[in-house]
Amino acid sequence: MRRHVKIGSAIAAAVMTTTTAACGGAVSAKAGGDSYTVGIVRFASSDPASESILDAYVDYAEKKGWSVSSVDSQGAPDKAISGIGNYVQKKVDLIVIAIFPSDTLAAGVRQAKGAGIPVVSVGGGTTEGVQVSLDFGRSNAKETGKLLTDDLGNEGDVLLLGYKSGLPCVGREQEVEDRLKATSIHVTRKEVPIPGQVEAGSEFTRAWLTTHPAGKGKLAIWGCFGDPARGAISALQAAGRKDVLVYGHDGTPAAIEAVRRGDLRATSYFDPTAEGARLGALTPEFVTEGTNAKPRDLAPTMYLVTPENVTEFLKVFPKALG
Amino acid sequence: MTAVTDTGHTPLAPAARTTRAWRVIGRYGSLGMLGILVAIVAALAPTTFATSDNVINILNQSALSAVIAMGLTFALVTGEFDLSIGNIAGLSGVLACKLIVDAGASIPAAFAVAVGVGAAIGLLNGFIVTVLNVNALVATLGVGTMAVGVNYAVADGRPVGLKDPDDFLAISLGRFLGIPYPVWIMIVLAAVLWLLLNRTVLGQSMQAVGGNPVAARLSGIRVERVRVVGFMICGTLAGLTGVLLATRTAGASVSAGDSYLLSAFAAAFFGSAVLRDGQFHIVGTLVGVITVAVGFNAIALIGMETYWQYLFQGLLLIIGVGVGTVARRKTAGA
Repeated sequence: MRRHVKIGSAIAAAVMTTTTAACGGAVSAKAGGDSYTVGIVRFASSDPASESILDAYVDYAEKKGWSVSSVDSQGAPDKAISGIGNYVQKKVDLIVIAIFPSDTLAAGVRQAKGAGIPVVSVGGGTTEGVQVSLDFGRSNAKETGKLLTDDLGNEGDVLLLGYKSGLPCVGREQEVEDRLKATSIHVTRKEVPIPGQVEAGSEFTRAWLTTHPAGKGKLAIWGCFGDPARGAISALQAAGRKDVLVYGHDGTPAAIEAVRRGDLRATSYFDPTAEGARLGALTPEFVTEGTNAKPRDLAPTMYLVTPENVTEFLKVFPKALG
Repeated sequence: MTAVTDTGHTPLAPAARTTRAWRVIGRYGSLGMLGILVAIVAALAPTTFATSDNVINILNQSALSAVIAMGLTFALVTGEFDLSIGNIAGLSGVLACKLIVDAGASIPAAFAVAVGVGAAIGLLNGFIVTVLNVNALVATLGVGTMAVGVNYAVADGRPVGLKDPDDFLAISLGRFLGIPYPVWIMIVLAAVLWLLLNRTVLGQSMQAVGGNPVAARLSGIRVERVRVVGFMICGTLAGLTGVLLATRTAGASVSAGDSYLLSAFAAAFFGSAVLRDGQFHIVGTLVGVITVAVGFNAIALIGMETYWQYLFQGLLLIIGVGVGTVARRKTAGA
C-alpha cells in the first residue's frame, strides 16, 4: 500500500512538474501581418446551417494560410463558454461562435472582451462583446412566410414546429407569426427538441394529422429549420397524405431534393460558401476594429426554392444538392 | 529444507511481479493517462497550455461538471443510477432565473428554492425506487422527463435572461485569491463530500449498501433510507449545478443542463478506475472530470480537428475503464 502511495505521488509530482515548469512562460500567439489565428465554437454538428457556413469559413481561412481551431459545444452553453475560455488562453485574434444567443454566453464573451479579442456570431445576435452577427433568423423566413399565407389564403390550419432555444428559429417564428396574425389561419405550435428533431417533427405531424383529416380545409406544416420539416414529410408519406403543404428553412441538400421531388413546398436557401467567404473576407476588418466596433448585423442573401424554380436554381447553385 | 524452500519460491516470483505490476496499472493507469496527456499537450503547446492561467481556466471549466458528477457518484456508490440529473440542472436554472425576473426574488432566495427543488426531485426519485420498487433507470428517466415538462410549463420553452445580470454573473466571474469562485466551490464541495463518503457512518453505510445490499441489511443498515439519501444528495448537487450554470450564462434554458448527463457518467466511470478497483469515489470522479477538461482544452489549443473531440472522449472512457478491468482480472486469481 505504501508503495502504491509512493508511485501515485511520483505520478502526481511528474504531472505537477510538467505543468508548472512552463508556468509564466506564456507568449502571445497573436499572428502579425495578414495571418490570423481564429477559434471557432460550433453549436452542434446536427445544425446544418451554421455548420455549412463555418465549414466554408474554414476553407477560406485555410486557403489564406490562417490558423483555425474548432470545438463542438454539442449544444451546451457551458461547453461553448469553456471553448471561448480556451481560445482566450490561446490568445487568438478572433473568436467565431454559432447559434447560441450571444447573451447566454456572457461569462465567456466578457472574458474575451477583457482580453481584447473580438467575437463574431453566426446566427446568435449582437451583445456587449459580440459586435457582429450574421443574421439568418428572421430574414430567412420572410419569403417562406409570405408564400405560406399566399398559398393558404386567409383560412386553414398550420402546424408550426418551432425551437425557442435557438435565436435563428425564434426570429423566423416571429416573422411567420406576425404574418399569420393578420389572417384567420389556425396555428398549432409544437416545440421541437434537439437532439431528436426529425423524430419529433414526425411524431407531432402524425398526431396532428389524426385531428386534421384530408378534405377538411387547407393544411400546412411550417418547420423553423430543415430537420422537423423532414420529419413531417416522412409522416405524411407514411400516412399517404398529399394534401398538406410543408415549408422548411436552411436549404439543406435533403431539403432541395425534397423540393425537387415535390414533397416540400419551399425552403429558403442561402449560399453557405458565399457567406463563409464573406465572413472570411471581413475577418481583417473584425480584428482591426476589435472589441469596441459598432454593433452590426450582416444579412445573407436569401433564395426561396420551390418546385417551380428548383431547376433554374440548381443551374446557379449546383452544389446545393451536396 | 533449504532446497525445498528455493524450489517453492523461484517459479512464483515472476508471477507475483506480474500480478503486482497489473495491480499498479489497474490503480494508477488512469492517473498515468492524465499525466501522459498533460505531458504531451505541454510539449505541443508549451506557451499556452502549461501556464498558471490555463491551469485555472481548466479547473474553472471542470467546476460545474465536477459538482454534478460528484453528486452522481453518491447514487452510483449506493448501487443506483440517476438519469434525471441533466433535467434537474435545467429546471433549477430556469426556476432560479424565473424567480428573480418574475417574482423579484433575491439571488440567495432564488438559489435556495432552486437547489431545494433539486433535493425534492432527488427525494422523489428515492421514494419511487425504494418504496415503489421501480428500477432506478426507469424511475429517474420518468422523473427527469416530468422535470422537462415542468420546465416547459414554467418557461414556455424560451430561454430566461436576466435584465441586469451583473450581480448574478459575479458569482461565476468573481475571484478569491486569483481563483474563480466556481473552483473554490468545487474544492470545498469535494472536501466535504469526500469526508461524508469516507469518514462518516452514513458514507460507510452507502458504500456497504452499494457493495452488498443483503449483507448491509443483515448488519443493521437501513438500506432504503441510505439509498434515498444518495438520490437526495445527487438531486441537490444537480440543482446547484443548474443555478451555477445560470450564473455563467446570465440566464437559463430548458435544455441547458442536458449535456451534463453523459459527461457526469463518463467522469464517474472513468474515476472508478482511478486508485481503486472499480469503486466509485469522489477523488476518482474529480480526476475523470479534469481529464475530460484537459482534453477539450488541448483540442482548442493545439488546433485539432473537431472529430478528435469525440474520439478522445470515447477512447478515454474505454481505455481508462478497460485497463482497470483487465488489470483486475489479471490480479483476481493472485
